[in-house]
Amino acid sequence: MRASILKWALAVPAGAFLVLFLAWPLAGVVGEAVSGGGRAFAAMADDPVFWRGLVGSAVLGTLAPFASTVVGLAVSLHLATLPPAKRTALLTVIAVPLSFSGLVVAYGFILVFGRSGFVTMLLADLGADPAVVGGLIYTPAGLAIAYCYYLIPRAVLVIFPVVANFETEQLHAARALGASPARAFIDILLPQVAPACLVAFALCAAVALGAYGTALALSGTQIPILPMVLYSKISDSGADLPSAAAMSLVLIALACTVMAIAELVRPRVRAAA
Amino acid sequence: MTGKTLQLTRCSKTYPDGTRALEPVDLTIAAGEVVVLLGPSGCGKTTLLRLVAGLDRPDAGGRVVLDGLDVTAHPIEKRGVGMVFQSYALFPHMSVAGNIGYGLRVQGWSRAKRKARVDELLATARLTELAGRRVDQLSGGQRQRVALARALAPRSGMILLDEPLTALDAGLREGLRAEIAAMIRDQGATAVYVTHDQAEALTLADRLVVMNRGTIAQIGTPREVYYRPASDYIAGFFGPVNRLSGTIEDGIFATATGTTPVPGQPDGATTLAFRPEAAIVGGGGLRFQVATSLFEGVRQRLDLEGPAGERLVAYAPGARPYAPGDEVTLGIDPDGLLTSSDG
Repeated sequence: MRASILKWALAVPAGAFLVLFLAWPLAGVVGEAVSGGGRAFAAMADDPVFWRGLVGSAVLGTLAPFASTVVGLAVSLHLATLPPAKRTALLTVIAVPLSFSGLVVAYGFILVFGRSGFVTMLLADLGADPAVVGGLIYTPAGLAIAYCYYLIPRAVLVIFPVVANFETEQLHAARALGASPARAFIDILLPQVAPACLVAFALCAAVALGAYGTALALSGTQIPILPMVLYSKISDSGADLPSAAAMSLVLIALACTVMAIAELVRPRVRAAA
Repeated sequence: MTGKTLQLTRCSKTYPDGTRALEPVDLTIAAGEVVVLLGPSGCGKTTLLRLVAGLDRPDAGGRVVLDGLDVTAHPIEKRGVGMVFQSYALFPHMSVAGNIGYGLRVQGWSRAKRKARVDELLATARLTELAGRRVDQLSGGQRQRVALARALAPRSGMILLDEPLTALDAGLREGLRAEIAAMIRDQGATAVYVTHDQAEALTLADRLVVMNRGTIAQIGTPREVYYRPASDYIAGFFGPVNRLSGTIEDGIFATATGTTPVPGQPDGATTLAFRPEAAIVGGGGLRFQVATSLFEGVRQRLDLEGPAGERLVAYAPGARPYAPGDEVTLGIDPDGLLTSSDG
């Protein structure tokens, strides 16, 4: 009896935290969104800024996780070939960007790829228009590259354990049966790491959809992605709370959808790792 | 299908760190032959197999010739050899039938031919009921048979097996030995089989290649290697060897411990070498005392001591117990005498 009371007591801080800082505010958002009888949603649907933001987020939320997953798979395949000590050291280094603030990343990008950035100037010497090159990082596609910076480590952390546990002899077996190295890779390795790649993609997509620090630092609220549209609704003069709440729900729904996909696939990844 | 021939010429292997895994080796294997590479771990047998497979290249000067074609520079997929790995290396995302048919798919067999061949192998390997199963739902023995069927499927004429039974428990191993031998011979493939298990090697081999420290120590039929070992090392590798010194006169062997007939052996002073099973307990006039006895079920192992300190190992049927200090008489089966292959 006492043991079970203790067990519940241990859960109280987390429970209180969840109620105070997640459930309650979320309920507030939902309440705010539906307060006008759905008018907020109608207004949102009529707002071209929202639609531009949705398209921007869709581009960002597809490009960044896709690129990160592809690079993450390549990095994982390389890591798996290394001796354990080297591998551990590199994994530690790879995880470093995860601990950086998105703002730091953004300023770094401005310094290197911005309108008067180092790389931009170099390319300008080769004849590229600095306004075009430098403007690239202020678009959703350009932002996707910046996001890769901390999405790739996430992808590696998800994909690497599965790749490391892959039995290389299967590739030898396939080749002994006549498959070229490329064919063995496609037929044998890819299907076995595909679930992990899908999970990595979904996790990165959820992060990319919600993150706004890097975007804000890069371009203020000019860049058309949902979090920025949302930010402008609550920070600019004349906060429009009902439509901000409605957009929040759309953003939450998007992130939940990709996370749900990840959770559906995850058991298969655990089995492979 | 007829098996391929294999010719290795001056094949050695030195790894980048300078480790010499294999000294220059020459070996010729006839079509349809089952050759077993036997030796302790680190003797170079797996290295040799990897050279044949194309998973490693021999040092400069070495040549691997398959069916008359120099394949030394060919990667594994261009060699046309089936391979069975110790870990089986089955494809977990494919069914049993999918695994067996993979090589046929890669090599562009038509759907109908593929199905016929897969069905045939499923039947041979007694896997027909399991055709649609995932491989992680199979027992160790079943996985082993899938791996073998998969390697045999494309009728490549050459199959390489790297310790295929080592991952299984002893009881299962014995049953599978016979099955593997039957499947390989049934398919007519030439086989190179690597193992460190003596019983497995003796059972399976047409020809046995005993390896030690990166060199071939002896090549011969299982009986030749067992009864005419080229060295004490090889003799000892197959189990204990008894040695008893004395003189033979008119077919009677005489020592300090007594006499026993050895018909057909030349007269003169000699040391007879024989394995424990050639010492016939209760069968002659050599008197020994039991030092220790170990009951093993089907038989018991007796460690015997003679009056002058001679030590022998003999096997007696298990039913009758022996105790330390018991007197036994011994005969020697003359057919079981070991002769040196070079003398």
